[in-house]
Amino acid sequence: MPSKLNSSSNLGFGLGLRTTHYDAILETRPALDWFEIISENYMVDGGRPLANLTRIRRDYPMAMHGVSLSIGSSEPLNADYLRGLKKLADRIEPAIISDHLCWTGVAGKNLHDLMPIPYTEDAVTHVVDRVRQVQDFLGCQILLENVSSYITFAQSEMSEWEFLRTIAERADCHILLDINNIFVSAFNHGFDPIKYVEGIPTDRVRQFHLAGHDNRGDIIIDTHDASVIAPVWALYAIACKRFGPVSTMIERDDNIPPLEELLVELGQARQIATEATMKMQ
Amino acid sequence: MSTYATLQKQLQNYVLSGERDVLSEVMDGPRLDALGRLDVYATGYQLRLIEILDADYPALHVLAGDDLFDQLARAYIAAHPSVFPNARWFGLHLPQFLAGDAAFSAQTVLAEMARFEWAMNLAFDCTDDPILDIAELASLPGEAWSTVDFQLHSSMQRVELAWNVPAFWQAVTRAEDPPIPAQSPNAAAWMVWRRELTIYFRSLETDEAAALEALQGGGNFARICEILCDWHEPGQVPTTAMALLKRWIDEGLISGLRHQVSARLHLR
Repeated sequence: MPSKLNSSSNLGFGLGLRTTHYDAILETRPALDWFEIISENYMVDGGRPLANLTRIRRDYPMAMHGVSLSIGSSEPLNADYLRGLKKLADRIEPAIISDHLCWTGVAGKNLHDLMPIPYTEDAVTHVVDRVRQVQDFLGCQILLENVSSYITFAQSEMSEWEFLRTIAERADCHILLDINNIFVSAFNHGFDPIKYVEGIPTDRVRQFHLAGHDNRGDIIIDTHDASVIAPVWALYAIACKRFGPVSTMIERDDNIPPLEELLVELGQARQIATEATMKMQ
Repeated sequence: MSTYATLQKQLQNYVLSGERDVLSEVMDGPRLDALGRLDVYATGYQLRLIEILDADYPALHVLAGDDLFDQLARAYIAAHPSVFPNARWFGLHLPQFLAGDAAFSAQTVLAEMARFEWAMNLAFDCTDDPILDIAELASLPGEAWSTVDFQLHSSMQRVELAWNVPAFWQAVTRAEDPPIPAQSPNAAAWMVWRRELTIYFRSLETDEAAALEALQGGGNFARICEILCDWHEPGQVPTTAMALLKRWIDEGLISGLRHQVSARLHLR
């Protein structure tokens, strides 16, 4: 049985650790609660990435967020990748290890994208078995994140939130609920984002993601290159009311502003979460 | 209805090569039809990988210009779909691709710049080898000189360059106007390495290049002297070898000593 580690605790409000902010973080030790890293960026042998990570880890709790676990792939789990992930986890002792409910490639190829899974009972069984294998190997529970998606499979038998909930409950893993991804997919597929939030069990969510996106009129692309927009903040407030205090971070991967600007945006998250959870009491 | 595994192959085939078998498995959306929705993945795939190459080869991008860089990146993506879970390795084959592909091989400066930048990338995050302290060498007993091998730092790589790509790279890195690409009649040996967290590069004279090459297989002082005999009078060889060794140690190129006798004992 995997240990619960400390992913059940609320880490507070964090940001994604990005190379452009290394100097500002090391020089000013900004007032934020934690950082999330892209695991693969630090699954290297040495040099500046690991040196900076080690220094920043001394001052902040960390979450490891992967993009290549490919938990939904129809092919066997990549043992080398898992060993690398565990080696990094042993090194930085993260509070959270997460990846996406998706697949990233088959037939020896990698698309470096978060590819969608059909929401079927067969897929549930397949993914649940693999999550258990990963958790047994890592010795802890992982968090699975809902991805932004752009296509709907004709063979899907259930809603995305039913799919995510069922996997989390059967595999006994946690959920990283990406509020922006719910908004993006709701627009792209035409479902009610509030219904999605209400369909997620309250005892499984251990982290929220917030981000900006690119609305092209006929489709929204999850670009992480802009500020969080008002309707996503509103959905975040609804999620905070439902799930209570949950570790929250803002993802910014492109068009990255100075750290101070992201700290202001993070303050907005803190304010919304505080107000929402106060109303709960 | 496709099986789970087939569906993934079909969707991947659309992304990689536009094969439409997956189309019947995908529904139209509220504002975009199935094909338009699939294209989000196909377009995103190309753009994402071009972005990865741009991050790994910034000076090549400046050298080639936007149009040619886009063209070579797309050709590389088609020829070498990523097989790596970690995107950090996607650009691994670009230098060889540019040297061998008919559309780009005539512009030899492209492959050279790619080779130089990839050497930098490898040095950037390779193992944190120790660096030999000169005092350790000084304390070596005289009889040990014939039985110790010098271990090169694993970040050290040699690159043969005929074009002025290091100067071009440096200008791009400093956001200065790069020099006009210029080719020498003969390729010269350069090396790239990392000391602590900083990456260095410099050119090598032919004797030094040959001596370093001998060390790459774990050579000892006698082997260095043997190599240098091709360039220097026998009486000057030990002094020259010693000067080179001291310079390499000062530069952080030697990570340690391996005692041949104890290594053999250890193997038993």
